[in-house]
Amino acid sequence: MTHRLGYWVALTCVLAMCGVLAGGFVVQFAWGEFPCPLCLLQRMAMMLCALGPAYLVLRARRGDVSPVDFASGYGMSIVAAMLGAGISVRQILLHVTGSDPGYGTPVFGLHLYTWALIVFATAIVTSGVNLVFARELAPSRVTHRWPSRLVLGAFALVIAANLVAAGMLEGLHWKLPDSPDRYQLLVDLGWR
Amino acid sequence: MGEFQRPFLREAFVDTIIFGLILSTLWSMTGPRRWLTLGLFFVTVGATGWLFAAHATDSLHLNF
Repeated sequence: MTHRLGYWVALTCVLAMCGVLAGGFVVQFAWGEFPCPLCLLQRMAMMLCALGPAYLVLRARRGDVSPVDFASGYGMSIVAAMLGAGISVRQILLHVTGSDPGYGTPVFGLHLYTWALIVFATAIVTSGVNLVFARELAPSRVTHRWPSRLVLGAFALVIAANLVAAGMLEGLHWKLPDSPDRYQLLVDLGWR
Repeated sequence: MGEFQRPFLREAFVDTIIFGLILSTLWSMTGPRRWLTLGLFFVTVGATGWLFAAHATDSLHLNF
């Protein structure tokens, strides 16, 4: 029972991170706000964070997950979350002084980089709790495969979509500007 | 066609490359080789950290 719980916890972690990243896309495309370089770095860290539980789900599809694999999965998440938290703190500190309105529109009263710090802190706590109960939560072979196929497919799609979006923002240039205000590729190709 | 900037090797297409690396790491997980996955993961983490360091130590040209 708890082994199946460990599988569903890992799957939920990947799904939750996909939801957060999809929220970033809503802000980017529906609200028309451009992600800055630090925003893209935080997205990368979130994806790296989700790779840990994704690793466990894929291992569980092949057979029992060993304690070593379980530790590797959530260890990857903690390493990525620490990096992401550092990037978020850097961006919060850039906007913390005086009357600086911050970058982008706040969501539920907080800017996206503040939400990102909360997400990374949550990922660290979740990984820690999973590691504490590793013996009970290490997933065994799973038979129901379609939910994992669906979630991991969505995760791969989110990564690929970000790859395309980053390419659009960078255009035919070698670096992303500090504060992007257009999709440079469209300008470079003369479509805008 | 807009003006094509000269290569700035420190951050050359790194954003796009890192997203490609993340996708490659996920793909490597479908195979049995654990060290390939861990190797790709740490290369990607290193590249992300390196890009962050480049942005954090660069002079900012913000327009907000």
